[in-house]
Amino acid sequence: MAIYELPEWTALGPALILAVTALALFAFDSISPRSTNRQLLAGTAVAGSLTSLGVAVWFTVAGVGTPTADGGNGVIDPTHGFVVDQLALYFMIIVAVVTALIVVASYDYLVDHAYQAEYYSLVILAATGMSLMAAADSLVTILIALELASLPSYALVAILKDNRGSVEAGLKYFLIGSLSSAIFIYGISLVYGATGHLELAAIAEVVSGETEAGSGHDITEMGGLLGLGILMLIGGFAFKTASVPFHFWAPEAYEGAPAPISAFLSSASKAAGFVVLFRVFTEAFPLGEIGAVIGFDWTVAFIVLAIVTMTLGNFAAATQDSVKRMLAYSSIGHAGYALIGLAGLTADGGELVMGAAMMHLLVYGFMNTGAFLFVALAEHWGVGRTFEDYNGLAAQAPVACAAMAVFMFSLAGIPPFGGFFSKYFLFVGALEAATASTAMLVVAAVLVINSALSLYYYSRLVKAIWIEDPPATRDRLAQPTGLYAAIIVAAVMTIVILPGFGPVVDAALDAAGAVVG
Amino acid sequence: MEGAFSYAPAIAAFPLVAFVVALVFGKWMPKKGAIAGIAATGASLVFSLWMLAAVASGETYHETLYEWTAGEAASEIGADTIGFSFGILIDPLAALMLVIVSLVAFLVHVFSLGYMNAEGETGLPRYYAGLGLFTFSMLSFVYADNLLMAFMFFELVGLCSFLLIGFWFRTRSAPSAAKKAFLVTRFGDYFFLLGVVAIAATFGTLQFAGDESFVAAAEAAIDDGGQLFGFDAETWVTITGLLVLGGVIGKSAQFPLHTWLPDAMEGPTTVSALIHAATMVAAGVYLVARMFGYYALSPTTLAIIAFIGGFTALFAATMGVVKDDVKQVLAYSTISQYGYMMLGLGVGGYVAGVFHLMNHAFFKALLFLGAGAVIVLMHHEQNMWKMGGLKDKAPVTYYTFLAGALALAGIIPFSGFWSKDEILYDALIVGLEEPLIMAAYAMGLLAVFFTGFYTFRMVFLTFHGEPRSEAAEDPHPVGWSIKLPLIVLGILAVVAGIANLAPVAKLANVDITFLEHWLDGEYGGIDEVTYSAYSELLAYETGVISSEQVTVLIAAGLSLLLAFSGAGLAWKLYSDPEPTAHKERLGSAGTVVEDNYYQDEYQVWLAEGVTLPLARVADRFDQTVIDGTVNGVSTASLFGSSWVKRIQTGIVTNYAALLIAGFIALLLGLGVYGGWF
Amino acid sequence: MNDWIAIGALALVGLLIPLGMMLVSYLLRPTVPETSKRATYESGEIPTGGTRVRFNIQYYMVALLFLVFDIETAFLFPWAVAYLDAVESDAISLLEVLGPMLLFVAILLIGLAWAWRNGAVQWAQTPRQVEADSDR
Repeated sequence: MAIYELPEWTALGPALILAVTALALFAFDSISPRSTNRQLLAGTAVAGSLTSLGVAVWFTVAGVGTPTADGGNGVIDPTHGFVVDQLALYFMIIVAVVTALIVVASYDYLVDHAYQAEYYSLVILAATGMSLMAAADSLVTILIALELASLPSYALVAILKDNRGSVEAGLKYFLIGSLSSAIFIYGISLVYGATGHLELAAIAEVVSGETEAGSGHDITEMGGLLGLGILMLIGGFAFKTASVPFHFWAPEAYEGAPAPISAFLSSASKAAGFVVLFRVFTEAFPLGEIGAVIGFDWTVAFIVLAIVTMTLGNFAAATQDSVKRMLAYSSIGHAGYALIGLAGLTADGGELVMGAAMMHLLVYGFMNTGAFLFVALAEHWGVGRTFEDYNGLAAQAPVACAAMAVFMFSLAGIPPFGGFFSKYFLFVGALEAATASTAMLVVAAVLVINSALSLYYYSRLVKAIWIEDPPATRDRLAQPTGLYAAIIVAAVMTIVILPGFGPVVDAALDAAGAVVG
Repeated sequence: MEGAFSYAPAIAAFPLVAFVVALVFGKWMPKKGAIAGIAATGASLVFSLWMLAAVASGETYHETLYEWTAGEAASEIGADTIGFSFGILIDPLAALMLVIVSLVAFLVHVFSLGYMNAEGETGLPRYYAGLGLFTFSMLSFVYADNLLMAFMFFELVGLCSFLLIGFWFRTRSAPSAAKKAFLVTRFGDYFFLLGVVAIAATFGTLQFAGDESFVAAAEAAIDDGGQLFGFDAETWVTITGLLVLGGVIGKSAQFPLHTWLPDAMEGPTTVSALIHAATMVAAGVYLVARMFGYYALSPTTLAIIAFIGGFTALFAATMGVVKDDVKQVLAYSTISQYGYMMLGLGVGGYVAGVFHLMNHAFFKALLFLGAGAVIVLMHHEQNMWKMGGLKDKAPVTYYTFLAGALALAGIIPFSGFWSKDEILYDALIVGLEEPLIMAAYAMGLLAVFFTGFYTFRMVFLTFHGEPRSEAAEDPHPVGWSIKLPLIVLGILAVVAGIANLAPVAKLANVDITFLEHWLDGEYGGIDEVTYSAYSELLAYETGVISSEQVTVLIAAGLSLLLAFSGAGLAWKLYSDPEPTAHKERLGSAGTVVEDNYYQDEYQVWLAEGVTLPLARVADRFDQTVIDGTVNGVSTASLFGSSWVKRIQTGIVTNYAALLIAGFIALLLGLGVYGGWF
Repeated sequence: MNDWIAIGALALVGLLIPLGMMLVSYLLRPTVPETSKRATYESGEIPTGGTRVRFNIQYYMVALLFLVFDIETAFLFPWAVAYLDAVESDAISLLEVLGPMLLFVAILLIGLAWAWRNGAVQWAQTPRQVEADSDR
C-alpha cells in the first residue's frame, strides 16, 4: 500500500485524528456556544472515532509494525517519545472502537443535557490521550498522555452537575487520581534518578548494563531506588487499570458517572492503562536482567496484584445490589485477569499469555461496554438501579435483554462467546508459564475459582432480567435508536469475534511477540 | 463404473433424509412416511448394488471425507499427530454388507405397510423415522473407514434400537425392554470405547485399511517385538482386541450379555426382523469381520471368540427348545446363530462367518417377517400352542416360512446348510490340532441338533395340526405388502447357498466358491483386508481326518445327521393333530432352562446386590462431601464478599489511607523479598 | 552498617522532637478551661458567620485562564532562545521551527476562545443572558 509515501509523523494518525476532532468540537462550541445541533456534534465525534478506527485498521493491514523481514513496514518512530508498532495499533483499535460505541450510545443518553459539545469533545480528548498512551515510549510522553486521558475523565464523571452522585464520584475520582499521579510522577523521578534516562529503550540499556547510568554510578548499587521507582510506576498504572490497591475510585466513579462514561472508563481507559503497563515493563525493564538489579523479577509483583485484584473484584461483586456497582467490581476483577498477562511473562517467552491478555482486553472492550450501555439504557428508561428493578425487563425489551445475556455470559466466560476464548487462552498461558514459576499455578487456580464465582453474580442478573416477573407498574419502554444500535453492535461483535478469532489471535500474538521477543 | 463411488455417501444419506421427512412431515403424508422410507431404502439398495458391481469390476474406494479434528498426540508408537475423520471404505466385504442391509431394510419397510399401516397403529411417523435413522446408522457403520466412526454409528444403532424396541411405550414391558437392551449393550460398548481409546493411544491411527491402519501398525509392532505400555506387543493387541470385543458381545448378544435380546421382542416384529437380520445384532459380528486382521494377530483372542461363539450357539439353542412364544423361539435362534458366526470367525473361517452372516440375514429376516405374518393372521396372538393348522389357510406364508426354517435348521440344500457346514468344517479342522477349539466345535455340533428340534417344533406347532383357537380357525387375511417380501426372501433362503458351495467344490474339485474369491479380492479388493491376507496372519494349524474329502464328508454328514434327528424328534413329538406339551418330562432341568439358566436373575442380583450399594455410597459421598464442600465454598464466598464490601466505606480519606497502606505493604513485602533493606 | 539504620534513626528523631515538645508543653502549661478559649481567633474581634465562606467561582476561572498563559510563557521562552540559531541553521526549515509553536499557541487560543465564549471572564450577566440561561 501507499503507506511508504506518507511522512513518518502520520503514523500517529489515529491519535491525531482524534485530537483534531476534539479541537474541532471545541472550536464549534466557541463559535456557537450551547448549540443544540446534537446531530452535528455527535456525528462529528462518531466520524472522528470511526476514521481513527479505519486508519488504525488500515495501518495494521498495511503492515505497519510488522517486521520488514516478514514483508511489513517495520516499527515507525513518528517523533521523539513515540513509537508505532503492532502493539500500539492494536490498542488504538480498541480505544477507537469503544469510543465509537459510547459516542453513538451517548446520543440518546444526553437528550436534554446542557453540555453537549463539551461532553463530546472531552470524550474525544480523553480518547486522544488513550490512543497516545498506546504509542508513547518515553516516561514523559507516557505521563502527558496519561494525564490527557485522565483530566477529561474527571470532568466527564462529574458532568451530570445536578446529580449529587455524579459530582461526588467525580471529586473522589479526581482526588484519588491526583494521589496516584503524584505517586506515579515520584516513581518516574526515581527511575530517572537511578538510570538517568526517560526513554524506555535507554532505561533498558542501563538496566542491562550496556551503558552507564546518568550519574555515573553502577546501576546495581541503586537497586532499591530503582525498585521503589518501579513499584511507584506500578502504582500509577494500577490506578489507571483499576487494580488493587489503587482501585478504590472505581466502584464509586463507575456508579456515579453517566453509564456511557462508565463504559468508556472501564473499557478503553483500562485498555490504555494496560498497553502502557505492557510496554513499560517489557521494554524498559527486561526480565532476566532486572532481577540482578532489584533483587527479583517484577512478575512477582504482578502475580500478587493479579491474585488480589481478581479475588477482591469478584468477591466484592458477588453480593452487590446495584447493577452498575456490580459491573464496576467485575471490571476490577477483569483487570486482575488481564494482569495475568504480565504475571506470566518469562525472560524468554510468554507471548501466549500476554497475547491472551490483549485478546481479553479486546473482547472485554465489546462485552463490558455493551453491559454498561445496557445500564445506560436502563437509566434512560428510568427503571432503577438494583437487580430487583431489572426484573422481567426481557418481556418488554427482548432484543436488548438478549444482548445483555450475551454480555453477561461472555463476561463469565461461557463457551459460545468471545469471553470464553480469551479467558481460556489466559488459562492455558498461565499453565504454560507455570513450568517456569509454580506461583503461576496458584494464579491459574485463582482464575478458575473466580470465574466460577463470577458466574454466580452474572447469571443472577440474567435471571432477574429473563426469569423474574416484571413489576405490574412499569410503563412502556422506549427504544432509543443510538443506544440500541451500540448495544446490538457490541453483542454481535461479542459473538462473531469467535469465528473471527483467528485474525484477532494472530494480531494479539504478533503484537505481544513484538514487545516480548 | 467410473465415478460410481462418488455417490457412495448417498447410500446412507437417503435413509437420513427419509428420517427427517418422516419426522417432520410424516403426519401429513399418505402412509405416514412409509413411502419416503421405501423410496429411500430402495434407492439405497440400487446404489448399493451399483457399488457391488463397481467392486466386482475391480475397483475399491477408500477416502477420508471430512476430518473433524486433528491435533498433536503422543501415541505409544506411530505418528505424533492424530486425526479423527469421517471416511468411506468400500471393499468386497462392505459392498456385500451394504446390499444385505439395504435389501433387508427395504423389504422391512414394504412389510411394514401391511404390518403397521394396515393394522391401524398410531405414531407411525415416529416408527418410520426410527427405521430411517436405524438404516442410516447401520449403513454408515458398514462403510465406516475407521474405528471411531464405526463406534459412533455403532452407538447410534444402539440408540435407534432403544427407540424402536420401546415403540409401544404405553405398555409396561416395552419401555423396560428398551431400557434393558440399551443398558446391557451399553455395558459392552463401554469396553468398546476403552478399546478405541487404547488403540488410538497406541498406534495413533484408527483406520481399518491402508498403510496407515492400526492393523498394519499392530502387525509391525509385533514383528518388532517391542513393548507397548509395558506389555508384549501381542499381549497388548490381545487386550485391546478383547476390549473392542466387549462391544461385539453386547451388540451381537453373545453370552453373557445376551439377556437383552429375548426381551427386545417387545418391539414390533418388523423391528425385530431388522435388528436381528441386518442391523444391530449383525453389527457386532460385522465389526469382527471388519477388523479381522487385527484379531488374526492374536490367537488368544480368536480362541476366546471361537469358544464364546460355540458356547453361545449351544446355550441359546437349548433355551429355544422350551419357549412357547413364536418370537421367543426366533430370538434364541438368533443368539445361537450369531454364536455360529463367532465360532466361524474365531477359528479363522472368515469366509464361512461372513457367508453365514449373509445367509442368516436372509432367512432370519424371512422367519421374522413370516412370524409377523403369522401374528397378523392370528390377530396378534403369539403363543404357538394357540395356533395350528395355518398350513392350508396361508400357503404363501407357510411355504416361505418353511424355506426359512429349513435353512435355519441347516437342511441340505437350503442356504443355511452350506454356511453352517462350512463353519463347522473350519472348526473341525482347527479343532483336530487345538483341543479348546475342538470343544467349541463339539458344542456347535450339538447345537445343530437342538436347532433342528426347536425349528421344527415351531413349524409343527404353528402350521400343522388342527387349529387350537378361534383366531387360528379364522385367520386375518394378509396383503401383497406382506407376501412380496416373504417371497423374495424365501427365494433367497433357498438359493443363497450357491454363493459358496465349498463342500461341493472340495468333493467335485470344481471352482465354484464365488464368495471366497469375492472376499479374497479377486474381483477387486484392498490388499491387506482380503481373506488370503488374513489367512497368512493366522497362527492356526489345521488337520484332516485321512483326507480332505473324507473330512468334508464326515463334517457334513455329522451335522446333517444331527439336524435330521432333531427335526425328526420334533416331528415325532409334535406332528399330531393335537400336539401335547412334553416339557414336564424334562423335570427340574426343564425349569432351569425355561428360566433361561437364571441369567436374568444373576444379572439383576449383580445390579441390585452389588452395584446399587456401591452407587448409594457414591451418592452419599456426593451429597455430603462434594455438595458440602461446594455449599461451604459458596457460603464462604458470600461471607467474604460482604466483608470485602465493607472496605469500601465511601469516605475518600479512608480510600487514600488504604491505598497508601496497600502500597506500603506491597513495598515492604517486595522490599524484604528483594533484599533492599 | 546499613544505610537504612541512619534513615530509620532520622525518622525516629524527627518523630520524637514534635512529640517531645507537645509532651513538655502539656506538662508545663497551667490548665484553665474557659469557653472563650475555644472560639475562633479573629484578631480579637468577635467572630461572625461560619468559616466556610463561598468565593465567587469567577476567581477560579481567572486563575485557570492565567494558567493557559503561564504555560504558554513557560514554553515560549526556551523556544525563543533557540529560535534564531535554529533559523540560521540549514538543517531545519522555517516551517519546522515555527510550525509546532504556532500549532501550540493555536490550540491554546482555541481553549481561550472557548472559555471566553462560555462566560469564563464574565463577572456579571446581563438580564438577557440570565434569561437565556434559565431557558436551557
